Amino acid sequence: MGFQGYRRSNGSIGIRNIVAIVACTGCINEIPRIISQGIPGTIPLGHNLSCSHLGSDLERSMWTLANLAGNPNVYGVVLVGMGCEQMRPEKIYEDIIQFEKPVELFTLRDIGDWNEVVEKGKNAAQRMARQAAALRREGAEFGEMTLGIKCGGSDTTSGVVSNPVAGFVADRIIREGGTVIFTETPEILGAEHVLAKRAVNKEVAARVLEAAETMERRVKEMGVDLRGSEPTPANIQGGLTTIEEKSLGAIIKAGNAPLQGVLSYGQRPSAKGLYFMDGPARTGELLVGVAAAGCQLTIFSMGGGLPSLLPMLPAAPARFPVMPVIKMSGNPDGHEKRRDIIDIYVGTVVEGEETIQQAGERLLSEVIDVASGRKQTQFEGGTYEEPLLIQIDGPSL
Amino acid sequence: MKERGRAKMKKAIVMDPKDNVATLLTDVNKNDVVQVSTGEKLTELRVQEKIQFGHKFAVKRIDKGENVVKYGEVIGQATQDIDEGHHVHVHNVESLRGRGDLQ
Repeated sequence: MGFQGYRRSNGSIGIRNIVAIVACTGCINEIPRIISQGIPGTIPLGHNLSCSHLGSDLERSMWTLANLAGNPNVYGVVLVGMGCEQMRPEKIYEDIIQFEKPVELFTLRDIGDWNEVVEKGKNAAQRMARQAAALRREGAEFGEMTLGIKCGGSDTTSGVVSNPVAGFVADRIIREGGTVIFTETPEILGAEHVLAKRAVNKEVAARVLEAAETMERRVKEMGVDLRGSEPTPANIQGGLTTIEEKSLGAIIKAGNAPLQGVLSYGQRPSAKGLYFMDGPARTGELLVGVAAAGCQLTIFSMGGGLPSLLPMLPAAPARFPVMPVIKMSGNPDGHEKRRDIIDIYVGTVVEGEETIQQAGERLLSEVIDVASGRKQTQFEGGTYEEPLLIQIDGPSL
Repeated sequence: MKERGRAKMKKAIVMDPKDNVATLLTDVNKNDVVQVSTGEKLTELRVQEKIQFGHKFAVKRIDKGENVVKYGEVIGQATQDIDEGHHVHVHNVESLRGRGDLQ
């Protein structure tokens, strides 16, 4: 079983075919936007990091940008930089080269004039967009898929319906040799022991426990009760009482496969199977992190309530063109109002019309259709663009 | 009539046999009899107050200080005695995690 995608030089398979115009530093987010204007198939990727950040935040932003540009959905990359930034444009360039895709770097330092940077950038983008448009899809197997799974706008139906349905698909992709990545460290608090038991070895188990412990310590250092933020007021309204309950329901989305490893934010898995990424649950940072990890597609498993009535994703850029996101809801309450803003409805399980397995097969078909380009997700239709959010731990200077 | 009444029965689900709470799959009113499924097993239980869809009620008495269990795991601690059939939520359960406020 499989899907249709674009075969890349390094053997990976893209399910979209975009040319990314990437800013090395957030100081120049406007430049990719200008370069991309009027060139179909190109997307500008600015972000929130600059020399105003320190140490590990800068390092993380560099590997995240390189890995994001390396995403199989990206055909080629136009990289633009100041030349004075802490993010070292040449290092990012060298890292993108490893993915064996077309990449060109233009810096103000080397070219000396912004208009010329834009002109050279536009020429490169146009050339790459033409090459990308000449590619045709070919057959690919689930073993070549890396699927992201996130939950959000959660309520108690998430753990009963939509997360088990997502877990069904996760198990299937992994059984066929593929990779599944889930994340959201705050949402394993209270469930970390369950995940640790599924780890393939003691080191992986220890890393899961350490991720949860570090997150909890940071919350405690702020001297606050996590409640009100985890679970959120909307979660509580939906019936979720504690973070433990939310977490135990949340990890169901990752299915039942053994846990192969724990990834740092934005880093690539070294093998196939199920991986946990130590990172934030906030949608904006999360989507960038899992796309950098190589996910071609992400499933967003939702409950009901106000967040599920948003035409965009809660706490996310309205458009994140690197990777399609399939929105799924399993809450029958208010489904009529959500009909046009979610991609797949599985509240049928609550209504007794379908089993988890049947809904899971339906979600799998949706994954195949979206991956093969036969269907665009609701999220892909968004138009508002804002800089990408990359995880930041330290101070903004 | 009785058969039709049964078909419309209010429903709830227990995620694991070790749980002391069930999750409602419909809105319920005080004194409604709810069909509770635990895996394949079905039982009936009367709820003692109006509770909304997706919220939880106690399937057995939970004493103050006792663990509240769902998915077979601890999801918090009861802050007061909770009788069978009563709403279990933030008003009578507290989280044990991320409590920087208790330092």
